[in-house]
Amino acid sequence: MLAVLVILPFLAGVAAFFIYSDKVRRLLLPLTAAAELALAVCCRAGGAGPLWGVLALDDLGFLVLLVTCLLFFVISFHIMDYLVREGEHAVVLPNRLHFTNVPEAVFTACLLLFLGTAVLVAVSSHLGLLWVAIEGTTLACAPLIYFHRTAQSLEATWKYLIICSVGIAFALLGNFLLDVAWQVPGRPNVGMTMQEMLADPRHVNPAWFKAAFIFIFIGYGAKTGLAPMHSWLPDAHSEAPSPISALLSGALLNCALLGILRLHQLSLAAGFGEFSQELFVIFGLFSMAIAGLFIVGQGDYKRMLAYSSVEHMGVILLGIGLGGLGVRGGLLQLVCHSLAKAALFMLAGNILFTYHSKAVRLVSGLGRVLPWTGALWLAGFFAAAGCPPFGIFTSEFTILRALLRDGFSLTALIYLFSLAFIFAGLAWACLRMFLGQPPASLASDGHTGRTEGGVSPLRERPFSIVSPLVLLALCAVLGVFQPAWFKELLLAAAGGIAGF
Amino acid sequence: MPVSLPLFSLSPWVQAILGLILILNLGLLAAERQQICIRLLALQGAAISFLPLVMEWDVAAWTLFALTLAFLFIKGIALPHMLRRAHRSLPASAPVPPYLGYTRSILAGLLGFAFALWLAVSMPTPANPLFLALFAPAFGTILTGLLLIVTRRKALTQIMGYLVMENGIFLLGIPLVRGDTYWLELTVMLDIWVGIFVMVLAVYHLNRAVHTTDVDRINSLRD
Repeated sequence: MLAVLVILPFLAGVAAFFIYSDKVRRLLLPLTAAAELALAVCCRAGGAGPLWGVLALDDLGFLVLLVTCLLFFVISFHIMDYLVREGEHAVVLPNRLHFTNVPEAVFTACLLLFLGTAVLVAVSSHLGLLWVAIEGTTLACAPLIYFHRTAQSLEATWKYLIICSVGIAFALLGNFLLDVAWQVPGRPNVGMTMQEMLADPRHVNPAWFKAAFIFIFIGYGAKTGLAPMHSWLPDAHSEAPSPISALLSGALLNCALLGILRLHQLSLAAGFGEFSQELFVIFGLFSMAIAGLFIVGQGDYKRMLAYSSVEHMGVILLGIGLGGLGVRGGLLQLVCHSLAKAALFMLAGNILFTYHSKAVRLVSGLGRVLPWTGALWLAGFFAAAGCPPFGIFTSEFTILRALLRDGFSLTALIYLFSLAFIFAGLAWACLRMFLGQPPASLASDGHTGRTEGGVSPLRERPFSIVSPLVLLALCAVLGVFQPAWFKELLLAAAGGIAGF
Repeated sequence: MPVSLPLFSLSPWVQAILGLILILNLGLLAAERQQICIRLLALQGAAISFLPLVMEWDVAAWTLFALTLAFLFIKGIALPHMLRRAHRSLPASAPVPPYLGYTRSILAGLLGFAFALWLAVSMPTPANPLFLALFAPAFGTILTGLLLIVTRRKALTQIMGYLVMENGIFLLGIPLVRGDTYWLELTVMLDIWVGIFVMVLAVYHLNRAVHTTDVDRINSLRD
């Protein structure tokens, strides 16, 4: 079953190239995602054992796999609708130079290949294969980011490719050093699977291990969007089509983060837990602080959401770095951030379709122009800013409890200050967009005529609303009630990286 | 106590190839024109491809031969060919000097190799001494690639820098192959191949959209 789980999206991706009908090809997205979700649950329930010596589904991997498949399934409906709308709008935006979309077959195929590589990341137990899969996600996403082939999207893709590829190359170097660290005299042939490496980590060479850790952390950290290696992230998230931004933020970042968490598992087992935890706390706080500086006064709402992702990655890392209770908070944050941020990016796409601008100052009266999108945008803001009843409040509060319980008062103070600062920045932009008078071009014709740009404004379609609604509802549910199976999964996943 | 560099415990063939790789690193840092860079890169890729053969990986003879051919095809022929085609498709432009200038780039490359040598003698000896023997040239090559990425202004030359960096990492991975783990090196190389293809494609579209591949002029996205 694990084999089918891994191979199916690749087969679907290849099939997408050869399907002529747009409608049939679009249907491939939710069908494959649904099959993957079902297969993932079956693999878990059936206790699928290791496969081919390099694949295995452990608790942490399953958590990431579940989030990835669920997110892809929900977003796939939004993407279907997006592709229909994109067809309507492609011809009538003459102000965008060189606006020729990537062929839809390539776009759909790359989406499915991305799903395949993300699934492979979650189930890889071999560190080399994990690297290959993470690099695969980078490559599958590149054509998705420059779907519109505008100058800006190409620039963003270039930065994304060069920064992430160099980062991933560092991670490869780190993997080789890790292999060297594990080979000690008398035991020269330890494989690079997690099982083998965790089996006897007592005699690991400290110097080589620390060198490996730094290279892998920098490499995967760049792709996770941790400051100061985050510079590709705001550009790629803001220039990619909105459903792709949702996938980048909700699924791609988790893939690279899983690479870091695997390394942390090894670090704890080898007795270098303090070393990695200190690094996590420092980089976590630094990412939050840098994100805060860029969120406040940010004029582009998609970039603002991207910086919010940098902040959330920082929060997750901080939680993991604290160990124990903090890890549970960090993993809950991982799940809830994916749900909330994906919803917000999809809503940002709805706003962009109607207002034709990513500038905060040009979007006003959202509550009147797009009532559903406006209401959800407001809810999404509360979710991302960590307000109750959303899950991010629970996770951030759990991390705060861990900080205070362990006596890290100064860290707690910096943490709270950063969160408050970011809340203020998000509130300024989101409330300004929601309130106020709609622009004359949108208000005057009452959604019945054409705008100044000659484009029919968006009518809120079910698929453009339902997907973000479902994700935000899930995020709220996780904030007030966590089912027993989810609690158990979170505890089990946290067990391997709790540091006790 | 004198420090012995493990580099000299290698066979003459391996030493010759490593020496060639290091000279090519300096050549790449000094090269002004992109065509020359591509040729030097092809030569470096071909030289590295022969290392598994001369270092006698522990695999069946025909597998070793097939792997050498595969590496040679990808590193020495396919990737340079892809870069050459991309170079031809882009409009001709005068060479742009790197941010550091050519002389300082070469000096920085030499300093990088000196740093790699220092690291090689400073780090504890691993269980596989061959790894340490290749460490200095490999790390020096990685630093050369990084230097090319950071200091060059043309997107295509930055891709070449990435390939040089990957050559260094490949070199570092050669002594770590044992038994049938060569599949990983092969998979990594295929991944890199696709990666370079996507990068070249992006540069091609970038040039069509903004009429330049000069990274100094591709900076419209900022806060």
